[in-house]
Amino acid sequence: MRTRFGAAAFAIWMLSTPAPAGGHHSASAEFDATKRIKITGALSKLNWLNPHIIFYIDVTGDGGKVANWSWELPSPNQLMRAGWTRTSMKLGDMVTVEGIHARDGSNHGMAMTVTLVSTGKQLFAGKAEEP
Amino acid sequence: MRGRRTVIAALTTLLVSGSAGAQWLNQPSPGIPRLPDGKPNLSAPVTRTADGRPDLSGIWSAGTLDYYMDLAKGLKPADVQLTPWAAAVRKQRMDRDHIDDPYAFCLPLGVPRINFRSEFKIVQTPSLTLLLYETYVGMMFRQVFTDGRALPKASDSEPTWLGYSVGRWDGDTFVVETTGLRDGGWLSTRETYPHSDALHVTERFRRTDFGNMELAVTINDPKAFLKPWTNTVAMRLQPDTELLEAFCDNQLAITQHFRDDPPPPEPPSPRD
Repeated sequence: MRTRFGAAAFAIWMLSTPAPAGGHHSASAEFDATKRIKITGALSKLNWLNPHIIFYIDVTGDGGKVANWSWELPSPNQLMRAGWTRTSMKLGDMVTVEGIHARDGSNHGMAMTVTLVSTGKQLFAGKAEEP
Repeated sequence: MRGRRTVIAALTTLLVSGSAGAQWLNQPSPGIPRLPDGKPNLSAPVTRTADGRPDLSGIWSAGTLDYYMDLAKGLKPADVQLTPWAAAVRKQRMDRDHIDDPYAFCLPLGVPRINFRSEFKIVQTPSLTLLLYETYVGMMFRQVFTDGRALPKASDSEPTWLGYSVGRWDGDTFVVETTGLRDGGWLSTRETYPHSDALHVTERFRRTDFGNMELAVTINDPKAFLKPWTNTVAMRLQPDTELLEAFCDNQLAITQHFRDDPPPPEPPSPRD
């Protein structure tokens, strides 16, 4: 995929895919699709707001130093229509996030997958299970 | 009737109990035709308003982003030929990898792109039809006047994101004409087709049964395209749900990571 319209830009626009990708703009203004990140941390804050949800995780590194990372998800409206809610992920939950890094190099990225460590369940992908 | 009511009541309880915190996402739509199991009968005939017109009311969605990405999807390249001005603007947008799309900066999608991003509700009255849009950068509305007024002259009206719209009935088709749109809007997100302030959009809404509606969009913009072109999109009713609030609350936290290389200004369309 070496077209102008890069794979990540396409991914962020794709709302019908099961992955929690999708957004209201081209990813390339903000993210570098070549910089993939996989990181695990505890949910410290969840801003369940438009146009993109942002959640924050505390990531404990070597030597016990904690870094806070922020991650974007699609519009909450899209996820709510698929059955997900702001309680699908709770403060303190350990989650593994795979995504792409912000171009500015800060601890920020676009989440492509979010997995709950305790159960292995993938969050915000496809339809939520009926409660 | 009692049996049907019981089914609907049970369905209501089921849906409402499973939707805590989800506003009215699973709110059963009142007064719509239903099958014996309580599900909406999407192939029922179109209902009519008191004045005998097809009732277009309801929440609608294309159910795909294909036409948001490319309004000309499925058309032949020969049908959608850009003028030199439009081709230059399109090239700049593509070269900059779409980062200048106004929607990324919480600005409106414009007409007709706004029809194909997310759900919208039609509210129909004899003299005015409202289009209520749930876009993720803000809830927006268009007013389509059917009280006989004419579209404003370009010289008398300030160009806007959503333009000025009047409607009329052509048989069972609701025909909406829109002008007064801002120069340099985006018709297609991925394909980045620009339009000019001369754009005249015609939208023809034809509800074919209870659950389906054809929306034929004609783009007539002599400054941007060598000839008018039309595409038809199948819209689907979204029953038993509601629009959600949407504003740009998180935008500041997003844009602080945006690339800091402002674009050269796009050239304005040719003056008359």
